Amino acid sequence: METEIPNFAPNDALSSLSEICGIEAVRLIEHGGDILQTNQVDPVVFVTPHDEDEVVEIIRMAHASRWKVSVIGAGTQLASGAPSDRIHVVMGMERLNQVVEFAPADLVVTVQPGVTMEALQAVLAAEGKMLPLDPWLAPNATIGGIAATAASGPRRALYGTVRDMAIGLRVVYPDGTLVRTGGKVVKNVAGYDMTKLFIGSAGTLGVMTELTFKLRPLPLHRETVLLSGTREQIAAVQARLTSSVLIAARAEAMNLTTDVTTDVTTDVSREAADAAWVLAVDCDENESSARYQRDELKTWADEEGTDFTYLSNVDADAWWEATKGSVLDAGVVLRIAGRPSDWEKLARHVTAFAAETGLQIKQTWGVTVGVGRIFIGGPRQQPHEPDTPDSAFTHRVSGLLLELRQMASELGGSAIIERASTEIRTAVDPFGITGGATVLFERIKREIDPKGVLSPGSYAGGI
Amino acid sequence: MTTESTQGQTPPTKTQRDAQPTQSAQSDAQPTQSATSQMELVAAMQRIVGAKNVIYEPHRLHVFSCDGYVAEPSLPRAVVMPTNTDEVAAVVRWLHQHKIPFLPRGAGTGLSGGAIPLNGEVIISLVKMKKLLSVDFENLRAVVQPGLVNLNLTKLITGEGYYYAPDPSSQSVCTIGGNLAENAGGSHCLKYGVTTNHIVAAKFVLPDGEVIDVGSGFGDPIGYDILGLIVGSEGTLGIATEITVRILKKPQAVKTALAMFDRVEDASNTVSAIIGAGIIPAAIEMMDQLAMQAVDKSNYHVGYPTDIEAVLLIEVDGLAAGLEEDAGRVVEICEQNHVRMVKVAGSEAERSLWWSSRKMAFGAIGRVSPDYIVQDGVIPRTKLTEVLQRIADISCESGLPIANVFHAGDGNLHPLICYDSRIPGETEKAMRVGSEVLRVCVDVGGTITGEHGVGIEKVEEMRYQFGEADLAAQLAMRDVFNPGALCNAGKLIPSPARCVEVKQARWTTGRNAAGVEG
Repeated sequence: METEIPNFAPNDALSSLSEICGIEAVRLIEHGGDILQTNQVDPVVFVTPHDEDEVVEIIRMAHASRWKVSVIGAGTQLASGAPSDRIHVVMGMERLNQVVEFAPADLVVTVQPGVTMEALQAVLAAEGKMLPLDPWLAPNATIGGIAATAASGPRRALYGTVRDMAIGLRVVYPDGTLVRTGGKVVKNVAGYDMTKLFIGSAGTLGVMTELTFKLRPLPLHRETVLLSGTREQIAAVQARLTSSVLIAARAEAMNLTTDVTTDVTTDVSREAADAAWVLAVDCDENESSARYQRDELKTWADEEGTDFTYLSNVDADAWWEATKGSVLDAGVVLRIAGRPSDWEKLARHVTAFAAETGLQIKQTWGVTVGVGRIFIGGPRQQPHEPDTPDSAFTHRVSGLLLELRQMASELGGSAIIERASTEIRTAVDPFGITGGATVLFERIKREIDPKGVLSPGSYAGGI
Repeated sequence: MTTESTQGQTPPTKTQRDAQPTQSAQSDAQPTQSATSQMELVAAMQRIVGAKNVIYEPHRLHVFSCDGYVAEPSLPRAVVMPTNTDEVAAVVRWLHQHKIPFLPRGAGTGLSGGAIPLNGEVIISLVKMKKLLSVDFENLRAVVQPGLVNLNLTKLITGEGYYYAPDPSSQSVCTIGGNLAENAGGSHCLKYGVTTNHIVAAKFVLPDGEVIDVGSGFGDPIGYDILGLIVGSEGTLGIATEITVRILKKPQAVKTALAMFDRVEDASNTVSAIIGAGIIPAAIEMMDQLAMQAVDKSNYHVGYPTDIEAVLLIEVDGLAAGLEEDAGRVVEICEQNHVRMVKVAGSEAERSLWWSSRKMAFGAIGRVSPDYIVQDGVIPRTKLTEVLQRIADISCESGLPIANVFHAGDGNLHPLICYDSRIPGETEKAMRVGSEVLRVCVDVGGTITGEHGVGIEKVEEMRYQFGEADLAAQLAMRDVFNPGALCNAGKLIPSPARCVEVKQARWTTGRNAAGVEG
């Protein structure tokens, strides 16, 4: 938004920031791209404030000095968005890791952004509560990072997403002003629902220093029914599920094997096909209801010819953890949204693409909500690795994204990059949005962050 | 436009009968008004929407001078009733070009004055845009025009076993566009969430007439959550003309229990204990003795004992197989908390009577008090006992009876402050008492409004809850959408710059009261 500052002196910045946070909380990173997971070669100062006051001071200083600041949590999602303009200061929120206030009986919790999902769920579970968000991220992902990216997971089928659970924030604006949004009660229509503006804004509008969420009781009984079969069989069950009275807490159709080199539905043996697709349907209702739901699904499984099994409580929890764990190292994650009834069409295309290109691709589709994720590649590529803007991998992944974006948009949906190398995110627009709303995005950014302090250039529409 | 309505349920209160719209709001407080003549305006509007869809004759404008909030009426310059998005956009564009203020209006059931033309706005009434445009059962979505009545959507899809979840008490008359504007709640939002959790996308006319698409039919919105900001913005950011909502499959089974308690404290503890036991009922509603007396005088006579302090209406829904168990647990918890009598509805008729008795409670208060103000504060549900006691104290000190009918499950209070506007000074006293109650809610960590909105009514009370920086941030967003301040100005957010207008509003209230005296 603003021209490059002429003389950024990292050592001066380092010493100014250490006056705010103490020397142990500040360090120079010679190659900024190392921490930002971008190609930035210029140095950054990495600062980890201890509290909200320090965040305010740092942002004020950045605002006055025309530094560009990126805010990070555990760093599990840095490879998202467009690579930002040159960054001078990276603010890590890891020290703001306290549960500020937990009122179990009110089903409300207030936390600092650096609390990890794993730590928070443990605190909540001790009182029989949970935050029903289960993004496809490592357990050390922070609440701040999850809120900033609006990261979602299978549980959105019943409980909704971050925007549904977040009820209030404390946000440091790009000029250092502290702003409170929402409140700490579960129903609140006083003023604009400003909280929503910051959820999913990828740290481009403000620095969240406190987040308040609604909670849910930890289900006394948890059950996961697993149906395995072909994509068509799974789609048939999904159609029955969506139009039924069953209460699916998660409903995820998954193809997580990567040794499939051809379209499993046409060629290979029935056994391999059966192993290829799994539909996992959770029930968070009481035990009697879970039994009814399980029986109903068993009947459908028999009628559609899929295999059937189920897991309860800690076994179900462990299965989900392992499943999530099996995709965490993917170098590329694409997210598709569309009508639930269209998932099978899109999934078929992805499978065909994998067969054609030989790429290792895993897929999972929230079949009652219409959100799919495509995981590509093995271990995450490190920065400076072979991948180049012209490499075959970048070319293929960009091609797949554009194809899916085209297909999804014809079907009323969308396709974005959730995670990919800088090269891929440079080669193709990670968001792919157009239309009148982008004008508003720009106006909002300009209003809140006129100097472009926070992660300029990284957001949807090049904001 | 929002959740609880008195409209169409009771005879108009004294205030409703006597309040006269003020013309002065129009002539005195309109710095932005252009010189466009009334004749030009009417002709332009008629060109866009047709002659029969423009109301401008003074005697026909009176009915639009207020909504469910009757204390500060003001006449609109005209009322325009477009029938589609293009017409709305054309109307807005013309008004924008001519710098004439305007505001959207649904059924006019809002309780905080959001649809009152404080600045003599042209009202863009959406009542003629009431179509269900499409429904996709397979994917659980419906696209509606803003004027579709909330309950009518459910009626249109109930045959296939689906419904629209947000259920404000006024749902038989209020519109989905109004629900969007107010982020309306209802009795069942404890389990199912409020309007913002059910609207996924919209076609939206900005205050300069530009039409944009916001939100996303499926998955997550890409880019800033503009839709999230629009829902609950009380018609100050623009006008939604096509709204995509989630529809839900009706629960397989429902069980409803009625529990009577000698002491409010026991009822409050029951609410917390049920949630604590890991059960999220679809609804937990509470009424106090004064409210019970009122509803028992209405057509929905339940026959509540006259010596109990509180009654809870608790509903659980879900799969039939497990519901008996949940209902049993609820009864057990009531018993552990010294319930005098608890009963699970034996028939649909019985359940329906209990619900009618609850939903008509506001109207019924009209039978025991000539006038009342309903407040809408929310508190952490664990503070129920404490706050109800403080409200009782305020009632005692002021001498004004306060009835309580509310969504106990999510701590959303609806104190009904009873007064008689024929007694000099009592209207002002009732308003002061309402404000005190909201102060109590904020003091215990709550909010001034859970579902009725801020509107004109609570604009000053916003300061209880938010500091200058918080309010400035909200005003900045209004300016982003509405730079000319033509769309429903002067509401929702107090502004230092608008103190003249606030003064004007106060003066208006005073004069109304004087009029009543006369």
